[in-house]
Amino acid sequence: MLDHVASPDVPVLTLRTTISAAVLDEGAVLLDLESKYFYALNASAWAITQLFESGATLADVTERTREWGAPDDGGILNFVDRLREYGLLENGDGPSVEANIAWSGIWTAPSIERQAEPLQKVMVSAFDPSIPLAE
Amino acid sequence: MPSDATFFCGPLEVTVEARSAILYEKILETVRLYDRVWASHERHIAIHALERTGSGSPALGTFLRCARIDVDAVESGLVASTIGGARARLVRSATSERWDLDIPPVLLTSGNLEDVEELVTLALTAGWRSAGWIPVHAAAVTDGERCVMICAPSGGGKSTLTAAFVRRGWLAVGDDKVLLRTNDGVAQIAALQRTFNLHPQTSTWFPEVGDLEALPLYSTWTQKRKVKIESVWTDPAADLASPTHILRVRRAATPGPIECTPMDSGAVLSTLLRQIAIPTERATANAILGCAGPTARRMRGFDVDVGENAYERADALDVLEAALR
Repeated sequence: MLDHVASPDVPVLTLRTTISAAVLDEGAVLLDLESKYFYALNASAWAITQLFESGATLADVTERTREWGAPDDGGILNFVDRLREYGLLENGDGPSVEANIAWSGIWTAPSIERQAEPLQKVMVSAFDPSIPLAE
Repeated sequence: MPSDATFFCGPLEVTVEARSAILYEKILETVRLYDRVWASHERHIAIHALERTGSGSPALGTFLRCARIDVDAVESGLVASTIGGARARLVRSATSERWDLDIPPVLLTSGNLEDVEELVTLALTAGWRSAGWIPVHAAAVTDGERCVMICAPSGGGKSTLTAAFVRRGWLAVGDDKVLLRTNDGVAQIAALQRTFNLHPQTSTWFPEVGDLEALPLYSTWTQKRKVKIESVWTDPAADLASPTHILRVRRAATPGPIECTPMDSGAVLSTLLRQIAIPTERATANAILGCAGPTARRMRGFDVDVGENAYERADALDVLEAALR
């Protein structure tokens, strides 16, 4: 647990530019193009993650998720901790920007699941992503 | 000998120009692998190859890193370099792509032309992506209602399992390489090749393929032979299908039947993504993920373990076909 994250003085955090994303029916999948790990997020986790795309502080995220119905039980901060542990967030340079993200329906606890094994960084060829065998 | 010609590789119209006959033939050999004719061609690629030593620093692999080739994204397109010293540059426009290949003379004189094959493959995969399709290293079969993607590393048993399905009346969309896209929210798999790539030992279980030893090698990298599908089975192929299932195939080290175990949704997505060469460039990766993610969500997946002598049994696929219902 990164205990310093609980402080509202933590600077603006942004989603790293090396993170690729695709929206799914019930959330999203993220791919870290550097580490090649990919992550499955549920809908509430994706909504929170989107807040960081343009930069947000923890206070911003806490306030927005409270509006969306999130309980004040530490779950949001725990989730942001996970994003930071996985290296998906970095400190931003500019001010936080209010993201135009809407939420409807019943709030559920955010979840993120990282795949056990990353995708290959070096492949056989441009068509074959298999791991090359040693020659 | 003509040094320029036009070919059709799926949605691409490909023109090839090379003054060196050796170079020209090697490029054609790779282009001709993708011989399934499509009704329309959405994008044009021009490949110009010269026998000369290219200038400039080698690519760093910031876009794609492969065993023999590194690729960087630049403002105009892509640049690539191979371990043999070949260079390539892509200049991309709204409707077409031009690749300039510089092949060092030493590669031609020594006959080490694997790098040419790598660069041409790079050109085709980039072109297919520009045309809105994602190259997937997988086999696929369909019975008209279901479409099963078959995944395994090279040499992992895709082609053999595909042949087993075809023998049971399924239609082959491809045994090694297919294209994937979503069209109005519906995933589609499309065929690229009219050939299977079968190892000669396949004739042990599928004697109808005949003596494969006499056929040409599929590639420098493998003992597999190219077999025209229609030469073995009647009406064996389909051009297009919507994927409903995905199989992750593993060879068992011991004799036994084919066994299958359901996959969870995370494993389905993982299996599909591992069959796609995803460049390390956000816009390209977003497009791939935006197609593969929803496609995986709509598929059921199975781990398939194939016993050493599984195909000797006439009922080899019974359990698997039942699971696919």
